[in-house]
Parts: sequence; structure tokens; C-alpha cells
Amino acid sequence: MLLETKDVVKNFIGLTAVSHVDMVINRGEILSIIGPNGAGKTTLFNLITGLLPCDHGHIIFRGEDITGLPTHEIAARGIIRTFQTTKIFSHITVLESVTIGRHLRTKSGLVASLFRTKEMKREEKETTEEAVKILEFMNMTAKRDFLCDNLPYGDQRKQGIAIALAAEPTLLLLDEPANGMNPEETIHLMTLINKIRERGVTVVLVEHDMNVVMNISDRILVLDFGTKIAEGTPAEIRENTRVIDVYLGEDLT
Amino acid sequence: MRITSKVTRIGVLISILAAVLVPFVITESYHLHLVNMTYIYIILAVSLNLLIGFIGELSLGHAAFYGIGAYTSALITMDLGISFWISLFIAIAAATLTGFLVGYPALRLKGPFFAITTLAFGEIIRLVINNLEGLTRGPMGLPGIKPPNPITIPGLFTIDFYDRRAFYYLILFFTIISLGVVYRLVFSRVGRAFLAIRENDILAESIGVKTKHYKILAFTVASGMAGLAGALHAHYILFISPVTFDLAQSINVVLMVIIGGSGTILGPILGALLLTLLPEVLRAIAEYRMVIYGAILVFTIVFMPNGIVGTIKGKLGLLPAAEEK
Repeated sequence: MLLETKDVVKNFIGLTAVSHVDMVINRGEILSIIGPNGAGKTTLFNLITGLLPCDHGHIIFRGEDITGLPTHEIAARGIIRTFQTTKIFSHITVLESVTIGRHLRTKSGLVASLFRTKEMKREEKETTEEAVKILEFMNMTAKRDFLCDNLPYGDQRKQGIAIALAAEPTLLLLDEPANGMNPEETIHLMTLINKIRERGVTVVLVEHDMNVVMNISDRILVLDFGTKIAEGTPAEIRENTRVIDVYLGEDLT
Repeated sequence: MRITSKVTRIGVLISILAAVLVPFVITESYHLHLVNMTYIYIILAVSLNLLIGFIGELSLGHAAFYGIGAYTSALITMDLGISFWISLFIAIAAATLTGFLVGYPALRLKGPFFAITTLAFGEIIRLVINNLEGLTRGPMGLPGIKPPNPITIPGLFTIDFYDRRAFYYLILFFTIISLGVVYRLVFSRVGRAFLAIRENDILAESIGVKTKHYKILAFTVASGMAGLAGALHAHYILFISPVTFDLAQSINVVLMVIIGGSGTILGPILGALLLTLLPEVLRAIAEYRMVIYGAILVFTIVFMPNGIVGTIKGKLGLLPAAEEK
């Protein structure tokens, strides 16, 4: 078990976004979180990464309680997420954006930067090399000098993943990675997510594209109005009448 | 990453060489004075650019740190008889410390709220200087500041800083140091953290950047550099008064950064040059100076939202054509 949420609750005014959710993420798996719009999927990501405080409950990561820690501290422990928004970084190049993702894996501070120490120079070189490798892995080498703003929609999503990977996460949270991708890009995305898992990264995704979810997930968790209504393998979820009622509809069965 | 690093290096070398030769070309004392003032403004503008251009927060109180540096150094040398070469560093330390103390709470705020807070802080400092008459002589200003103590190398020569040319090299030295500090800071892991904050602070935090820490760092460094500019100003002009460090001055430096091109190295330098020399060119119509400033600002925002340098870079395909904010 890599991460566990225990009885997590988040209330917004007049609305319970996440209601007593117990969730377990196992090391090395691909877990999908699905559910209708407003079911609390993204809110759950925000709670895990500390962007929003929990009203109740605990989040345990590698046996340690991380509830209430600042976001950068949670990131330093190995939980990195991507965002639904496409506007990631605008006025810098793709390669630069990925080097920013190396922040946690490098150390040079004010003094080292001002005096250009040997260690700092070595780190700078390594940072660029690693960023180049990640863009190769993402199949984005050709676009390394593009300004982020000028990337097509699907590539902007991939760029978000590249930045996250640069931080070498233990647990990667992907928020609707297939959103805005064409069918071909979506197929590549599935291969990519599998490759990321092969690197030893545990992947959790929030996704609406059922083709992606059913194909790559080891397990699926279904939320509705902030409550967990089902959990299981893709086959089990497909058969679950409650899930069909609230989300999947009849066609998919 | 920087393919152009060789070109940059040669450019820097040529610029320094040209700068060293300036006093031999510009012999007219008043003209050299203008160059000296330009350099002081360059220090102010490049430091403010760390905030506006790199962490993306607008400070309207930069002149306050300029004033803190100026008054600290002036008062220490006059009242305690301490050498300029020590008071200079005390002035930088005072401005740096104040920057930290102000930045720590103020940077909890963002955008307009942060700008208003810094504006208020700037006004407070000005009012304090204005009203602490026992110490600062208030609005009457502080005359009789001594220039830096002469440097004597026995048997060889004495550098006397009453000489504008000698002061030129002193300011040049600190301007180069300031530019070096900003350049090295910007092109480093720290600079990338600044950029991440400017571009998307939530994403920055999510990939582990301690956004608060880096914002305070930028603010503190910028304040210290403004303090340096202040100390140089005080011992160059030899008279300081609160009006030099008021809101209009803060805005003046903001304009230098924005018109020149925030977020670039050359932009604020160009902006400082332009806005220091422009009033001289417009001397005949001095009363309309602010009107013309206003017109330039409006023109820049409408037609060159990324400033002069930003627009040129955009034309060369190094920046997106226009910025929506």
C-alpha cells in the first residue's frame, strides 16, 4: 500500500465535495478514478496534494500522515500531479519548462548560483540532460524549443506530464490526461502511461475517456456526489449496476 | 541550453569595454552626471525587474528601499564618522533586512493587493523620513554628505571621489556587479523557480517549489540592491531629501522596467537609459513631462505589452506575439 485516504471529507459552502472517502492506492498499480462531473475527483487530488485542506480524515503516504502538509512538502515526498488546465507555462520553451520540473532533484541555492560553483555547473548540465531525456521519452524532442503557448492542445497535456516526470515522482496523479487529445494521441497516451508504470511509478488518473480507463486500469474507483460507490477491476465496474445507473449508462455494457 | 552564450559573452565584454571608455568620450561634466544617474537607475530597474519580470509581482514601494539605503549610509557617515566603504555595506544590509521584514508578510498577498501593500509601505517610509526631523531634518533634506573617502595607494596615486569621473567608475563597478548578480540569479535553478512562480504558482508549488521562500528571496535581494543604489546616490549627489524616494520615484522605476521590457535582462537597462535621458531631451517642455510619460506608458501597453526588448524578441520569434493577462 502506497497511499491511503481514511474517512476524508471536504465541504464547500452548501456542498459536500468529498464525503468520507476511504481509498487505497497500491504500489505499482494504475488506478482510475471515474464519476460524473462534480463527483469530487479533482477535489480528491487537491486534498491529497495539499492544495486544499481536508475538513476531516487523514491521508497516509508510505506510512506517514501527510494531512495538512504544504503542497511543496508533499511534492518533495514524491507525490506529483498534473492539472486539467492546458495553460501550464506560457512564455518559456518546452525544454525550459521541463528543467523547472527538476527543481526537487537539484539543490543549488542563492550562493551556489551567484558564485557558479562547480557543483552548480554540474547540476545545470545534468538538469538539461535529464530534461532532454524526458522529452525523448515523451516523444517530444522535436518540440523542445517551442514556446509552451504555441503547442497544440494534446501536446500541452503531454508537456504537463513531462514536467511532472522530471520531478521523478513515486506517485503520479494525472488529471484528465486524455482531455483534448485526438484518438491517435489517446492511443499513444495509453502506451505512455504503461511505460511510466514500467519505470516504477504508481499512476492514478481521473479520466472521462472510458476507452482509456477500461484499457489501462488495474483497478477503478467510482465517485458520485463525493461518495465512493464502487471499486474494482474494469470488468467488475462494467458489470456494476449502480455505476451503470449513475455514470456509464446502458451502452457500454 | 543557451546556444547564444558565446554571443552574450562577447556582447558583455564589448559593452564593459565601451563603458570603461565613456569618460574619455563624454567629457562634458553634466553629460557624465546624466550617465552616472542612468547607472543608478539601472541598478534600481534591474532589481525591481526581479519582482515584476521574474516572480511576476508588481511592487510600488521600491523607492523606499532606495531611500533606506541613502539615509542609512548618509546618517552613519555623518553622525558616526564611519567610512563610506563600511557604511555602504551597512546600508545594503539595512535595506535587505527591511526587505525581508516587509516581504515576509506582504508576499502572502498577490497581484493588486500586494502592489497596494508595497505602495502603503513606501508611503510609510517616506512619512517617517519626513517626520523624524531630529534625525533626518525632514522635508528640508540632508545636506553635507561626504563623498566616498579617497582611496590612496601610497607613492602612486589618490582617487578622489569629488571627481565625477572617479565616481563614474565606482558606479560602473557596482552596476556591473548588480547586473552580474541578476544575470546569474536568473539563469540558475533559483531563476527557474522564479519563472515557475510567475508563470503558474500553483503548478510551481505542485512540483515542489517553495513559492513563498523564493518570492521572499527575490524581494529581499531586490531590496538590498535598491539600498546599494541609494547609498551611491547619497554620496554622489551629496544631498538627499524625501521627495527623491516618494511614490512618483517608485512608479518611475516601474515604468523603466515595463517600457524597457520586464522579464528580460536588457529591458530594464534600456528603460532606465530612456527614462533618465528623456526628461533632458524634453527639458524645454518640462511641465508636460508627466503627460509625455503617461502617453509613452499607454503607447507601450497598447502596442508593446512586452516592452521594447520583449517586442523585439517577439518579432524574432523568441516570445509569443502578445500577452493576455
